[in-house]
This record gives sequence, C-alpha cells and structure tokens, in this order.
Amino acid sequence: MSKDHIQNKIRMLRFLKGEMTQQQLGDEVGVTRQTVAAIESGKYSPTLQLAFRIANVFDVSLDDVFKYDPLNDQFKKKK
Amino acid sequence: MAIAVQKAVFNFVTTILLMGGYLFYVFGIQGDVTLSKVLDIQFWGIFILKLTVLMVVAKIILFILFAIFKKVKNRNMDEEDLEFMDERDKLIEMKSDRYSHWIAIFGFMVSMIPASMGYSVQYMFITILIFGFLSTLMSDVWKIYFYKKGV
Repeated sequence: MSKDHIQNKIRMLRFLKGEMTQQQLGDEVGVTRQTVAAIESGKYSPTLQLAFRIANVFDVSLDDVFKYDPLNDQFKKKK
Repeated sequence: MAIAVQKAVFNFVTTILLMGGYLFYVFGIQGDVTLSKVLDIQFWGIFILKLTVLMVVAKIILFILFAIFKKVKNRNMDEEDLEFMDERDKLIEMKSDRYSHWIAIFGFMVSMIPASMGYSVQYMFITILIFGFLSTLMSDVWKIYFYKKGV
C-alpha cells in the first residue's frame, strides 16, 4: 500500500543532520521508530501535524520534506 | 519485530489457546454435557458469561507476564513502552477494529438464520461464538497485515 504520489526526503535530511537515526527523529516528533521507517518508505502518510513537526526538526519548510505528485494520485473527484 | 506486531501476535496466540482451553474444559474435562443441556438456553448463557470473564482476566494476567518478560529480556536495551501509541498505531487499531466489527455484525445476522428457520437455540449461540472468535482473531491478523504492508 505504498503511496507513490507522496514522496519524501527524510532519509537525506537525516543524513544532512549528522546521520540522525530514525529513533532520534521519532523521539523528537513523538512517534515510534517504526512509524518513521514507514513514512520514509512511503507506507504511511503522516498527519499534517506530524509532517509539520518533522519539517520543524530539520528546520525546513514542509515542501522541502514532502513532494506531492498529482499525476500518480488515483482519486475520484467529487462531482 | 516491532513491539506492536509482537503484541498482535501474542494476542492472536493467546486467544486461540484460551478459547481452545475453555472448550476443552467444558466439553472435554467436564464432559458431562448432555444433549438436553446443550439445547438449554441457560447453558449457553452461562457458557458465554464464563468465557467473557475468563478472557478478560486471563488476558490481563498474560499481558502483565508479557510485559515482565519483555522487561527482563531487554534489560540492557532501550526500554520499549508497551502502552505507547502514536498516530499510525491508532489508525491501524481503528481500521482493524472496524473490519473485525463487520465480521461480528455479519455473524450476528447469520445467527438469525437458524433462529428464523426454527432450529434450536444452540445453533444461534454457536454461530455467534464462531463469528465472535473469528472477529477477535481477524482484528490481530489485520493489525499484523497493516504493520507489514502499510496503512
């Protein structure tokens, strides 16, 4: 159930922040290491609140962490 | 294996063991269940009430033992909080509970079929028990699935 239309750069941002571990990031934003791993691998889309917290940890904007690709998003528009 | 998955697997196994143990106790060890007793609505009322109490008490005791076991095993490692749930855990629990409730509701509807056809009450109770047991098991199965495949 990976969400191809939402990509993230958390792995790269962790590397740039002195190879921060998933556990450390999880502790910072109040989630488990497994949840960080699921977000990184695209198996889980975080809530807006958690997304902002993650961006805040890396001191970047939300757009620098998550990218949305509307072409890959398969949803039905409401008529 | 993540602690949440371990908890789901532990729940799955203990549910099967407790249910199996209870069925063996009632129909195996006691063994004095006659046909007239099985057809009696009082028997099934007591059966379900006892089962509910047993499940609740046994699950609490087993979970405490599980927590102690984890604590002893991970003495030198970072402590994992068994009670901690983040937003992903809550979402997975909600989804798996919703799916298991569908099974329970479906089972209740199915149990009305023998009742409406005039069969004895035992068929209704057995159907409710089977689907109740299945819904409990499937809740854990879906949890494991969502943790592995994503939600």
